[in-house]
Parts: sequence; structure tokens; C-alpha cells
Amino acid sequence: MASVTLEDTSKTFGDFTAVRNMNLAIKDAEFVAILGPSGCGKSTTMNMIAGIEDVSGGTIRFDGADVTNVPMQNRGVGFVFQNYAIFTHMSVRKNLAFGLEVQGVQQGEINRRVEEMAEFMALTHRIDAPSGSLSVNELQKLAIGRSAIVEPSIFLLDEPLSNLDAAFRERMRSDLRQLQRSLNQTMIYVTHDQIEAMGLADRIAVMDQATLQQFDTPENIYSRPENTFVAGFIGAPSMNLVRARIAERDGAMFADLAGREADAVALDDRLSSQARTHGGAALTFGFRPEHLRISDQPDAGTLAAQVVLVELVGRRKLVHFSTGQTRFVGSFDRTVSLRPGEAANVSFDLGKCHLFDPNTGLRLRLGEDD
Amino acid sequence: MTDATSSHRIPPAEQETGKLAQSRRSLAIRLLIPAQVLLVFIVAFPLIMQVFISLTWWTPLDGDPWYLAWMSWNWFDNYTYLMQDEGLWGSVGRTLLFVAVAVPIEFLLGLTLAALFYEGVFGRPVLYSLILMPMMIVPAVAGYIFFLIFQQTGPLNTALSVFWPGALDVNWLNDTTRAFIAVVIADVWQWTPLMFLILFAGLMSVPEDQMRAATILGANWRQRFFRIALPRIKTVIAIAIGLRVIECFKIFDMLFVMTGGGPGVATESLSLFLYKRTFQDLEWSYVASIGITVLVALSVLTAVLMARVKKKDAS
Repeated sequence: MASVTLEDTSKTFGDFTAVRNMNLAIKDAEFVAILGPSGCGKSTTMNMIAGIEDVSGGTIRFDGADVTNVPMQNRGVGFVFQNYAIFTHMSVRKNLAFGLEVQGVQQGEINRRVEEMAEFMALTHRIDAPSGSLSVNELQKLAIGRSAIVEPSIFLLDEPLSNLDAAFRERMRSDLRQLQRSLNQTMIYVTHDQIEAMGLADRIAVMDQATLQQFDTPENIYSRPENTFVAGFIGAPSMNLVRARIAERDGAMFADLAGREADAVALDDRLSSQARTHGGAALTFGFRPEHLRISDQPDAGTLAAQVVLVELVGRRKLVHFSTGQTRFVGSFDRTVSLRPGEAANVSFDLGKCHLFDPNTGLRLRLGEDD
Repeated sequence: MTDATSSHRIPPAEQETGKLAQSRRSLAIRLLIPAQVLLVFIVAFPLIMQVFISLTWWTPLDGDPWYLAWMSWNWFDNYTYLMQDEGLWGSVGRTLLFVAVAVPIEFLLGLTLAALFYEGVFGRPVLYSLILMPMMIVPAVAGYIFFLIFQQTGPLNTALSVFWPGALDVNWLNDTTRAFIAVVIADVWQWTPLMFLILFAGLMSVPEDQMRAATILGANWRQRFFRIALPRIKTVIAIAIGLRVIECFKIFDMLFVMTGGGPGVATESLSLFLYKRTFQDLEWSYVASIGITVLVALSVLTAVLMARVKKKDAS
């Protein structure tokens, strides 16, 4: 068990910066997902934690102790590779035993722990099979078991579920969560799949372009994104980010989303004071598709829009709207009857909407807790 | 009944009958003929000629063309003679000894170099081309280089004299044991690079992730090398050793230049023995019988090995 701290950690390859000044404090026994699009630096971050990559700048600490220059074999981490890196020239049993054997554990002890781990990973019936003959799903379990058997204090997983078929992935997701609880280990998990990250992690570190964007609980990442990148990256379909002109009329704040001043949407108290504090005339208005409502009558809180496209996705209906230069998506119950070409009055669940600075991309907030 | 069902399964395009099928077959035969004729000339004819000559006393010294060799027909006298020819079996034994000494040294040196390069050694690109250089040299030239090095007044003695009280003037190539050692050294010098090249390529093909996984699990350099890398390149090792055993067994040019097989017959390999019988003694029918014997022996050996491989694959 160990906490992991990254202080100003950077990694450069020649002129290319893979990770820029990363600060991350992962608590003991926490399950953290590092989430981001491909090439954002998430795997490099993980490789630096494991010691596979050297650090170009900054410090990495396990439980407060500086491990920046400790070679990977002495860091006490478990690592599950994306392609599993199973020793295919050995049997399942030999794979499981490898870590214990090279560490000089007694043979009796090895046998006991290998049997135990095979049992736990449901591989007992395959234990003497050559590991090259395993299915992808079994390889996955073997890869996790082989790392877990040496009881590392920190467990690192590099996109471990990306090669699995959908049904098994779901099961493996819950198995992983269970494994983490039963081993009570710090687990760091790299993925580009937000559903995995949201479902598994205690906290998610969202990365983009070598930089940490936000490190928070799944709930906060979803409902209070730090900036427009996180807002746009998390959620499917993602948050609508619309340019808004802010104007004050008769003491009330309005956001003009469609380029028609007369049809501007009246903001609530929270958004109004955020806009006032910021003072800018142009802001980015962010709202999730599910926070849209259809109103019968136009009023100060509604926006007139045209339905462009309707998609049925499971129980939900995704409706694409257009008004002026602006396009956005709403997600409704499938019973809502909207057809392409129809006009609709759209209102917003303003308590769940956000304003962002269009230049920095940062979410406007009134205090630390907002 | 069966005919009816099977003809149903044939797609219409292949349902050729009578004339068309026959003309296709004859076209196929006509296309194959040139290759078959070539095969007869390069394989069958020489083979039959060899067998024929090996059953006679024929030698070009008689002045008769080879097809008149039947006049000195001797049935299997050549074959019975070769069974008890000490010169032949001595050369076979020496060649085997040479292979048994040189190839393991080449393998171990090559493997050590490959392992060093794999772990990343200082100045790798320069060393790489340097190490491969001996392999590029024509064996006869390499033989000549070592012929000069091992001379009584050669650079080796000069160099060793530094550590020797008085001047060292060993004649390396004049003593049976020393000549053998000198020849082994020359072969090792020339062919370790090939061993290194093949083994290094094999090591490079070991998945990096597996080596990393082993490292993270706590394996040290030795454990990674012997438990992951080596088992994974078993086939490559077999190919490298197999290649060198075959090549080494045929060694000729280097020995021919360095020692000419001497002193006496101390470094006379099988190839050198055959060369001498052919071009010094002109015993062509005897050489033909040796050639046929080697061919049969190798065919039997190959068949046995193949059968064993097949059996292994089946189980």
C-alpha cells in the first residue's frame, strides 16, 4: 500500500513534450483512472510512475519517499501491459510463478500462492496449459494475476480492457473493482474509455496535450468540469459549448446564444453573478444534452430553434437543433415527439449549466466550492 | 448416389468434361516439360553418371572417355575400399573434431556479444560494423592473413615476445596440435560475426514488453536473459548452430591456404581429402563412390530426423 505523488513531473522526447509539469497526489488504496484522448501523455505518465521511462524533470514519490531514480525492478509496482506481455513460451503456472521465483520465494510457498491466484482468477482448469493457447480473455486474467501475485503496493494497468469483447469487458470491469477492494491496493489505470473511467475510478485524472486538465471524482468531472476540454471530452454525447453574448437589461443578465438579441435567454442568479464577476461580453455557455427542456410557450428563458436531425439511441432520443449560427444537441426521453424541420422552444436547466471564459477555456466560478 | 451428390457440389466453372479437360491437362504437361528436362540434366544425369563411374576403376589417366568406363567394371570394390580407408576416416574424424571445437566457441562468443549489444554497449554503431567485418572477407584471404600471422617470424610471435623471456619463435603451423589450434582460431575469427548477427537479430525479436514485464516482476539481468530471451530464440539458436555445423563441415579454402592440410594430415578436412584424391591422385571413380556414400548417408539421416520432427509435431 502506498500513496503516489507526482511533483512538477515532465517528460520530453527531444523537442516533443509528452508530459508537462504534472502534479498529482494519489492517496493510498485509491483507484485512479488517467483518462484522455490518444497521444495526450497518459501512458507516458504511467510509464514514469512504473520507472519504464526516465523523468525529464520533477519528482515522483511513493509514500513520500523519492523514487524518481529508483530502477523499475525495485519500485515494487505491478504493471499490466496493454498487450498483456504474457510469456507465451511458458505454461500458465510458470507465468504466475515467475515473479515469486525470481524473488527467491520458497517452492512450497510458490505452489500455494500460484494455486490460490489461479483459483481467484478462475484459471485453475487451464493452469498447466501453454499460455500461448489461452483466449484473449484468459490472457487478460493471467496478466492481472501474474502482477497481483507478488502483491505490489501500487498496481498500474495500461488500457487492460481495450482488447476484450464488450460482454467480457463489462464483467472484467466489475472484477477489477472487486480485485482492487480485496487487495486494498493503490491502482492506477490508463484508459481512453470514459465509461470505464467513470465506472471504476475513485478519482479521474483527465489529460490533454501533455497537461493535466482536472483531477477529481467522476461526479465532479461530469457535473463541474474545470474547463471546456473536460466538458467536451466527458459525456456521450458531450456537453454543448455555445458562444454567448452577455448583456444586462433592466438589472437582469441575458445570454444571446443565437445572435438574436431579442431571443436572449435570461440567466439565473448563479450564472448572472458569475458573468458579472467576469465582466466579459462574450462567454462560452455550456450545457449537457440532458439538461434541455422543450417548452410549449416562448418566454424569457427559452430559445427558438429548428430541429435538424433526430436519432434514436436506446431509450433516448438525440435531437440536433440549429438556430442562427449555433448548433447543439439535446437528449430526451424517446416519447418526446419532435420531427426534423419542426420549430421548438428550448429551455435550459440553468442550475446545471456553466459559463466558460472563451480565451482560457476555464469554467467561471464564484468561490472554491463552486 | 455418391457421384450424384459430389457432382452437385462442384461449382459450374469447374464442371469440365471431355475435350476441354483434356486440352487443359496437355497444356499443363507442355508447360512443365522444360523444367523437367532441366531437372534431368542438372540432377538425374550427373547422379547416374556418378553411380556408374563409382562402380569402375576408371581414371582420366587411362585416356578413355568416361562412357567407356564399363571396361574396368569392378562392382563394389571402391565401396569396400572406402570402408577401410584410414585417410578418409581420419579426415572425417578431424572434420568432426574441428566442428565440435570451433562451432561451440563461435556460438558462445557470438551469444556473449549479442547479449552485450542487446543490453546496449558503448559505441554500438561503430562496434557493430567492426565486428561484422571478418565475415565479409573472402575465406581464402582470411586464411592467408592467418597464414602470415602464425609464421615463425610473424606478428603473433613478435607480439607474444613482449611477455616472453627472450624472443618467442614458435612455428605455429608446423606442429600438429598448434596447427589445429591456429586453424580453429582463424575459423572462429571469421565466423563468430555470423553467429553474432543471427543471435542478435533473434534477441531483437524478443518482445520488449515481455522483458519489461519480467523486470518489473523483479527479474535481474541474468534471469531475464536465461528465462525469457534465450527460450524465446531457441529456433534461432538451432538455425545458427545448424548453419555453422554444415558450413564448418565443408571447410576447405581457409585450410587449403593456411596449412594445405598439414603438417602431414593434421588439418586435412574431408573436403581437402576429396580435393587431393581428385586433383592430385586423379582417383575419380573412388571419389565418385565417396560422393554417393555421403549422399546416401545424409539422405538417411535427414529422413530419420524428419520422421522424428513429424512425430513430435503430431504429439
